[in-house]
Amino acid sequence: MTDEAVVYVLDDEPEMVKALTRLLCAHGFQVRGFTRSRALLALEPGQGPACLVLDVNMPEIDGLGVQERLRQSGADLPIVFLTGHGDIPMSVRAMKAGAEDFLTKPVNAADLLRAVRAALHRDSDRRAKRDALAALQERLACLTPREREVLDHVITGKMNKQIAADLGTGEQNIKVHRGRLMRKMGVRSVAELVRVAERLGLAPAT
Amino acid sequence: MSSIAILYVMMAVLSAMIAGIYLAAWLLQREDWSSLVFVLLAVSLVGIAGTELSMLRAQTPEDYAIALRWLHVPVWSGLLALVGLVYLRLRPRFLWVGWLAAGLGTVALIANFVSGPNLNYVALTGIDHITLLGEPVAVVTGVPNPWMLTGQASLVMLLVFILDGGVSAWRRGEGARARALALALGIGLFVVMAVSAVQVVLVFWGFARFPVMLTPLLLGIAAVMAFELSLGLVRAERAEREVRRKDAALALSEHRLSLAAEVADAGLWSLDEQSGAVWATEKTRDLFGLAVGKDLRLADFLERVHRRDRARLERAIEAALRSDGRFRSEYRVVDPDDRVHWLVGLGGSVSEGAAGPKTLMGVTVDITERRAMLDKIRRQRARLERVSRAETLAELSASLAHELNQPLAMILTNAEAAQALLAQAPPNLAELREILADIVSADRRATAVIRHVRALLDRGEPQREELLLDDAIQRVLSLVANEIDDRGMTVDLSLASDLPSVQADRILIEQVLLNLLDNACEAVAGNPPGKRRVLIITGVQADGVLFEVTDNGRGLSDSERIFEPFYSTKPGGLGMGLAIVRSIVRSHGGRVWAESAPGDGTTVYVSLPRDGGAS
Repeated sequence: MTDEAVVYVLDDEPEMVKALTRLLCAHGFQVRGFTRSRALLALEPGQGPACLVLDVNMPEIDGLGVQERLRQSGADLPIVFLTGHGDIPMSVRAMKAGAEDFLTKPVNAADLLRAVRAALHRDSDRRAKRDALAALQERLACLTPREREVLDHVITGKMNKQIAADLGTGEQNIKVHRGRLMRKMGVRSVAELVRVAERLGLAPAT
Repeated sequence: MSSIAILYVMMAVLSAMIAGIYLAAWLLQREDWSSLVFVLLAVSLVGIAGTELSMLRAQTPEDYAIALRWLHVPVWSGLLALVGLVYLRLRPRFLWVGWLAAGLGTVALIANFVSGPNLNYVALTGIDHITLLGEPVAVVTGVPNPWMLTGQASLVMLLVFILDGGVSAWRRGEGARARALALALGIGLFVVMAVSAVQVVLVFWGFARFPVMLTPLLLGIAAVMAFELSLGLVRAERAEREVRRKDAALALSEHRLSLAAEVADAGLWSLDEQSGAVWATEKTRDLFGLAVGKDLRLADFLERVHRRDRARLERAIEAALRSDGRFRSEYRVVDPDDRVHWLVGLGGSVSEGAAGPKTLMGVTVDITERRAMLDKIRRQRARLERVSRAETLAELSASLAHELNQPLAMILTNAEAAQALLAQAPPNLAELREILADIVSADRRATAVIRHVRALLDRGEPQREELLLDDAIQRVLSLVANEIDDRGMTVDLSLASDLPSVQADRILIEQVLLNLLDNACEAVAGNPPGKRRVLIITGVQADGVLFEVTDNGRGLSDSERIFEPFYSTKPGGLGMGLAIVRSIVRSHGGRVWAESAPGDGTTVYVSLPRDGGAS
């Protein structure tokens, strides 16, 4: 695991938070424990991958409520639920709302560690994808309006001649723009450009 | 005929008529002794009139002497009759005066026959005839007989007796009317007898030359008797009118009663204790399904009563008859179509006199619908209670699970953290120490939870008392009798007759029986109707009692685990029933175990020591 990975623990029982923190720390995780959901919700999202080990039965706001609020605030944190008794309807709701796992207390260390690892893995994956996309968007923003226009036409699969006709300019001119935008976007072939455009959600010109 | 003869004959006839009337009255009503007394008195008057007439017309002293001797016989009987009359009508205080008068009279009668020609004279010396009412009548002279004193003394005693009677009757004062009548009778008798006595004394001791003429005076006695007769007639007339009035009132009251009974849909009845005969209205017969018109006995009614209620009803009837008390009993009757009706009998017993035969009377009403409604309400209430108890238990066990889960989770997580720490080199000993401290405190917390729950469930020490198991069984059976009936079950009992009492908490032991019966009921519910049998057996053991509850239900595969809490073989069962049984039996120093095989029924045994484990 990366050093920045953080496991948040939220349980209304301080002793339980302490025990879970110890267990996860002993297995090399960075842990931040909370006994109040408000404190967790007020937290600024960190840079590294993270996940939340969450007790379902809590006063004030219960586990499902915390999950709901986190999603509303856009903090897409994978959640491992812990519950006192195997409440099937509740676990179904939690899983539908995107819970990573649903474990029954008392929970085995092995089960908990597996779930936490999977949650962190998923979070780091998600973060990697999000970072790559952000880089592409930066590159796209570097294009001149003319290059952007040419890009839209290139990804439809048109030849330079056709593009030149459509834009009312010379074929040589299009060739220069095309070479420049390919370089700026960091791609080597049209096929690669098309894939990048897809990821960026660009619509081909008609 | 001479006028004196006419007078005497009329007198005799009148007396004879009165005697006849009173004789008839006595024959009709033999317990009325005063009628017989009047007969004797009137017959005596006839005799006196006859003998006296002979005396008046005697021609020789010898004739006179004989007539006088025989005069004393009716005089004596008349005296006895008068003593009797005074005794019966006036009730004097000093009875011995009456006895004395009768005794002296009897002595006089004997002397009359044994001393001289008669009681009055030792010897008659001459006879004269004087004219009375234009007729010659005999007047005699002679030597007075001293024995005559006894006769006259008896007359004086009679006068005293009458006087005493009059005064006593007046003092008793049973109403102004009765007082006046007693006074009239007393004064009348007294005057007549006093004048007669004076006349007798004057004539026979030779102070006056006058014929003995008691008969006209005794007419007064006849008048008294006639007066009595008329009073009797008036009384009879009045009584008849009263009876007619009462009959009308009775008819009205009967009408009211039958109307009330009809409106209340009640049957009226009365039971004669001595004969066992039952009078019953048509409605009553209808309620018992008995034919109209037949003479009925208690047994006819009992025959219709449900066999399980019969003995109880009989006991209630007996108790009401024995104690002059109220009667109330609810029981079932089975009609010819085998339908069961619930009836309630209400009544009370009355007796004629203190020790006389008793009559139990009352009403009977059909309460089948009322019972059904009550039953329904009771069942609903029981169900509600059971549901709420089950919910309480469910809540309790849920919170118990939660309370225990927290510390258990903590202990496990801490222990696994410790394992992970120990795998590191070097292990963080400070952290490990902290972890172990936390594990200990979590364990303590779990123990506290368990102790708390136990305190909640325990009723504390059992309240021991002398308990007869039979009583507890009967009480529990009466508690669930309706349910047993509803489920079509039979519960048979085989109770040891010499079962000793045990020191036990009545409510707890009843709870044990109730839980065992409940389980047995559940177990046999799957059997076809008529084959749902439960048997309760009690027996004596060396140091106490043993009882078993056996069912012929589906049986169990594991007869050990059933006593564990939260172990249940029933869908939706909480698994608390037998756990509670075991905890109660153990608290009484006893033992509980079960024998069972699938499909072969279950027997649960409970043994309880006599001292209830108190030592």
